[in-house]
Amino acid sequence: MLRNLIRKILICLSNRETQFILFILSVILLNYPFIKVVSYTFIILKLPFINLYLLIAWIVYIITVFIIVKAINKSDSNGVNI
Amino acid sequence: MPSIELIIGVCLVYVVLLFLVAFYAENKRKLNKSIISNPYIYSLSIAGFVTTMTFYGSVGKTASSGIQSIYILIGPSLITCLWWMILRKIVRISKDNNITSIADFISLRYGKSLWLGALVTIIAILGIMPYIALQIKAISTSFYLISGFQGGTTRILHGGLEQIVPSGLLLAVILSVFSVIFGARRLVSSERHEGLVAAVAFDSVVKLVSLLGAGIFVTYKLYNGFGDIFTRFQALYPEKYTQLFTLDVASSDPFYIPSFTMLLLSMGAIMLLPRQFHVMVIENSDEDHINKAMWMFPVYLFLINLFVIPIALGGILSTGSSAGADFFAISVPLLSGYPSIALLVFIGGLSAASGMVIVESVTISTMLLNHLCMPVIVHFPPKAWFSYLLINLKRFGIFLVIFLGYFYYRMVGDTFMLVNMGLVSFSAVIQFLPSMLGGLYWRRGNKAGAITGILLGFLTWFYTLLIPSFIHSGWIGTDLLSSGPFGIKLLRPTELFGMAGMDLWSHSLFWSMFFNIGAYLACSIFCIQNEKEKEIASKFVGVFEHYKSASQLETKRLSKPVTINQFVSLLTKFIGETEAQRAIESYRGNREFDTDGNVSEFELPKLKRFTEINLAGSVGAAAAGAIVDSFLSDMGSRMESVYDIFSIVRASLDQSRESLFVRLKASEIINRSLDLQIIMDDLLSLLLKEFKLDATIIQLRDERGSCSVKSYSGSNRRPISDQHWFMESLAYCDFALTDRRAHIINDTKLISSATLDRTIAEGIVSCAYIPIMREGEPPFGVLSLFSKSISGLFTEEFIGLLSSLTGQLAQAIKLDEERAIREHDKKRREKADIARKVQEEYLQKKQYAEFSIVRHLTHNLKPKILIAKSPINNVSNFLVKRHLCDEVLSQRLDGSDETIQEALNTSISSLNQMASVLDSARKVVVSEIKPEDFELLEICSLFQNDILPLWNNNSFKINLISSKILVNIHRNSFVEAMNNIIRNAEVHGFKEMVKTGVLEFVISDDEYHIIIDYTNNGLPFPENMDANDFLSFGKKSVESPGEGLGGAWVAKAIDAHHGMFQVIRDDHPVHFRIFLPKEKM
Repeated sequence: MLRNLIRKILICLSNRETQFILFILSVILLNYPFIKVVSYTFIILKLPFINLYLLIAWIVYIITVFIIVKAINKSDSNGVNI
Repeated sequence: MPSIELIIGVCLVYVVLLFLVAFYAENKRKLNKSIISNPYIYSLSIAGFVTTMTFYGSVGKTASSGIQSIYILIGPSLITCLWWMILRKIVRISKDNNITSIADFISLRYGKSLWLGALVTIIAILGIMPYIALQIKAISTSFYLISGFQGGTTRILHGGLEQIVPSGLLLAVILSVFSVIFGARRLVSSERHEGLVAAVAFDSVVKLVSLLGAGIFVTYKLYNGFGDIFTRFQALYPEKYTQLFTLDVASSDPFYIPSFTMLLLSMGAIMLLPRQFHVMVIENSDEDHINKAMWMFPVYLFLINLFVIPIALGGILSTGSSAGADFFAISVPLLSGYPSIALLVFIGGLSAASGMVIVESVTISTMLLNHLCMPVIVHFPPKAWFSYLLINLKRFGIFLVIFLGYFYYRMVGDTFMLVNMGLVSFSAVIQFLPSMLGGLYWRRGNKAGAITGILLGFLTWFYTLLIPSFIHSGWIGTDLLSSGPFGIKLLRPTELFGMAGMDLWSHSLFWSMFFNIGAYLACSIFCIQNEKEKEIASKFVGVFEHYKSASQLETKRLSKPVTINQFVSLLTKFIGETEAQRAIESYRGNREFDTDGNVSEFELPKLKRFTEINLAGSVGAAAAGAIVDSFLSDMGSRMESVYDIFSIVRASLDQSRESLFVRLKASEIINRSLDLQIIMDDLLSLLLKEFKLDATIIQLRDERGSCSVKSYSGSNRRPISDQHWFMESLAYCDFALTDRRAHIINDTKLISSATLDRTIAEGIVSCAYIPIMREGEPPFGVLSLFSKSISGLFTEEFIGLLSSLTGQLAQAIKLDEERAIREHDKKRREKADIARKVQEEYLQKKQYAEFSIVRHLTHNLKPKILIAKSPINNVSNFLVKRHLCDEVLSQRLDGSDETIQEALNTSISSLNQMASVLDSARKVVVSEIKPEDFELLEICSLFQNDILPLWNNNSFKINLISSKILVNIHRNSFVEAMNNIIRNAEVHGFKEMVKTGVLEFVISDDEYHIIIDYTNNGLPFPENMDANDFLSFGKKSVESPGEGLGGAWVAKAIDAHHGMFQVIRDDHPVHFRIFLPKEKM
C-alpha cells in the first residue's frame, strides 16, 4: 500500500508538469505577499521566525528536488517528454 | 594586522595552487582522464555564481536591508527545479551545434543572425561592466582593509625609484594576464577549458571554507551562537531588528529592492550570465551531471548563506553601525584581533572574484571574437595568418572586458553597495530571457522579435538603470533625474511615464521586460519567419523529438558540387591542418567517397553542416555559417531549398502520408490491369498529378536492347521525333541503364555543356532518369521525369520513392513478358498440333487411298493376269507342238535375235511378277495385327531364334548387342518388320560391297521404352528422305530394285505397337531408332 503510494508519488514527481507546478508553488510560498504571513519578529529555536521559516522552506525544497532527481533517474533517464 | 609581505605571499601561494590545479586538470584531459567530468565538480563550477557580490555583498545587504538579501541565493536554488527541463534542453542543443556562448545560442536559434549575435555580445560587454567593477572594488577594498593601505594606490619599487600605481589598475592588469593564461593560450576547435573549470571548482571550495570559517568564528567565538547574536541585537537595536526581519518597514530604504525583483533577477542571472552559461552548458560533459547538480548546487548556496545573517548582525554589534557592512567578514575579525581569520576571508574573497572575472572575461572575449570580429573578418578571403589574428583578438577582448569593468569601478565604484552593482548587471542579462525561453519553447518566436525585444529591453535598461547609476555617482548631472530629458518629466529615467514610487531595479526590470516581451511577442506574431529560421526553430523546440526520429532527410541542396578536399582546406585556415584532418576523418567514418573527394548531392548538405559545426567551435555558429556560405558563393555554389514534396509531418516507418498514398495508388494501378500499356499510362498520369511534374516518359528495351518510348504523359505533347527535345535526354537514359542507378539533374541551367539546349528552351528546370529494374536484374527501361517549375525537386527521399515505383513497374513488365512468352508457346503448340493432325489425316487418307487402290488392283487385276496367262500358255504349247518355238520373232535392241518361246516366257514371267507384287501388297493391306496376338517375349531371344537364323547364309554380318528385356510384342509382325529392314539393307545398302557389310542391332531400355538402334555400314541413307518417306507405301524411286513395301511393313508393325521410328543422322551411314513401349498401350 505504502510502497504503491511512494511509487505513484515518484512517477508524479518525474513528470515535467509536477516540476513546473512545484517551482511556481515554491516561488509563491517564499515570496511577497505570502511571506508577510510569517513575518513575525519573535525568536524561536534561536532564530527570528521569518529566518527560520525561510531556512526550513529552503531545506524542504532541496529535499524535494533531491527526491525529484531520484524519481527522474528511476523513470526513464532519457525521458523525452520535455 | 598581517604584514604586506605575508598577504602577498599567501596570495602568490594561492595563485600558484590555482595554476597547479588547472595544469593538473589539463594534463589529465590530455590523457583522457578528465577530473572535471563528474557531477561534484560540475556543481562546484556552477557555484562560481557566488562571487564577491554574494561573498561580501550579501552580508552588507543584510546589514542594510535585512532578511530579503537571502533571495539572491534562493532565486538560483529555486530555478534548479526546472533544470531537467530547461538546462538539459539547452545543453543538448548546444552540443548538437557546437555552440560556444550564449550569444551563439541565441543567434543560432534565430536563423544564425549576425546582428543578433552582435547585439547580445554588446549587451553582455556593457551589462557585465558593473559586475566586473564590483569584483575589482571588492578585492581592492578588502586589500586596503587587510593591509591597512590607504588612498587606493600601491607603491612599487622599480630600481631605485618608487612608483605609485592605482591598485585597482594593477589588479585589472593582473586579472587580465591570468585570464589570458587560463583561457586564451591557443585557439581550439571546441570552446572547453578543463583547467579553467577545475580552477573555478577549487575557488568554490576555498570560498565556502573561508566564509563558513568566518561565520563559525563570529557566531561561536565572538558570540555564543545564533541565539546569542539575535537576542543581543534585538535588545540593543529593536527598531533595526524589526526593520531587518520584517518586509514592509524596509521599503523606506532608498536602495530597498523587493524580494520578487531579487528573486527574478537572480534566477535569470544563474541561467543567462555569459559565464554561467559557459560552465553550465558549454563545459557540461554529461547531461546526467545536471540532475545531481540540481540538488547539490542549492545545498552549496544554503551552506554559504548560513552564516551571512550572523556575520552581518555581529558586524553591527561590533562596529555599532552598518557602515562598510559589505566587508564585515574582514573587518570584524580584524577588530577582534584575529588577522588570520581576516586573511582567510580575504583569500576566499580573492578566489570568489578571480574565478568570476577570469571565466567571465574569457567567455565574453569569445563572444566578442565570434560575433563582432568574425562577421567582419569573413568578408576577407581566408589567409594562413588568420589563426594568429584570432587568438590575439581574443586576448584583446579579455583586456577590454576587464578594463571596461575597471572604468565603471572608477566612475561608480563608491556610490553603490556590492549587491546593488551586481543587480545592475543581472538586470542587463535578464534581457535575454524572453528570447531564450521563447526560442526553446515557441516555434513562432522569430528573429525580428528577438532583435527588437532585446534591443528595446537593453535601451530601457541603459536609460533607466545604467544612466541613473552614473548620475548617482555624480559623473552625470542630476538634472536628468529630476526634470527628465529636455525638461520632459514624463521621461525621467527613474520614473518613466510617471511610474513613481518604485525602486530603481524593479522600475527598470518592469519597463525593460515590458518593452522586451511586448516587442518579442508582437514582432514574432506579425513578421514571417524564413525557411532557414523555421528549420532551426523546429530543431531547437523539438530537439528531443529530433533525437527520437532516425536520420533526418535533407531538404536543402548545394547548387554546385564541392569536393571534400575543398572543405578540408577551408577548415585548415581556421582550426589548423591537424585539427581539420582529424575532424574530417571522424566525419568520413564509414562513408564512401571517390578518390577525388567527390560527394553525392545528398551527402553535401551534411558535409556542409559538419563543416559549420566544426568551425562553430572556433568562431561561433553565426560566423561559421557566414564563412561557409561565403566560401560556397566564391565557388559559385549556394544552398537552396528543395521543394519539400513530402510534408514535414511523418507517419510511421518514416514515410510521409503523400508517399504512402502514391505507393498505394501505384500498387492499385499495377494490380488493376494486366495490360502493360494501361499500367504505364496510368502510372505516369499519377506521377504527373501528384508531384506537379510537366512530362513523364517511359522507355522500354526491345529484344535487341534498343530503347523506344512506350508511354508519354505531360503537357505540350508532340510526337517523339528526331527534333523532339527529349532526344537530348537519351544520353542520360543510357547512363541510367548502364550503371543501374537514378541520374538526376536538379538544375538544368548548371549543366555546363550545351547538351540540354532544347530541353532548357522547353522550360525544363529539373529532370530525373530512373532505371526500371528489379533488384539485381538488368533494367527493362528508363522512367524519365521533367519539371518546369521546381528546381531541386528530386530529393533523396523522392528518388527513393520513384525507384520503388519503378521496381514495381519492372515487376509488372516482367510478368507481362512471361505472360507473352507463355501465349506465344501456346499458339505455336496449337499450330503444330493442327499441322500434325492435318498430316496424320492426310497420311491416313493417303494410306486408305493406296490401300483401296491395292485392293482394287488385286481384286481386278489378279483374275485378268490369270486370264492373260492362260492364252499365252496355250499359244506356247501350240507352238511347241508345231515346232515353231525356236523361230526368230524379232531382233533386240542390242542386235541379238529373240525367239518366239523367249518372248512368250518373258511375258509370262512379267505376268507372274505382277501377280507376286499384287500378292505382297495385298498382304500388307489385308493382314491384321490383332491385340489378342500380343505376347510377353524376351526380345534378345526373339532376335536370336526368329530373325537372325534366316540371314545366316548371307554375305553380310549381323551383330546383336542386347540384354534380356521382356516386352509385350506381336511376334509375326515384328519379325516381318525386322526382316524387311534387313532386306532393305541387302537390296539397297550392300549392292556393291556385300563382303564387308555389317549390320548392328543395339537394344537398350529406359523406364518406359525399349530402344532398338539399328545401324549398317552400307550406302548412306538418302539426304532428301525422312522417316515418313521411308515408311510410306510404294517405290521410293524408279531405279529402286525393291517393291516399296518394306517401309510400309515397318510402319504398320510399329504403329500396331504404338512405337516410334526415327532416322538419326550421325556418323553411321544409316541409323534408325525404334522405340517400343514396354507396356502395350
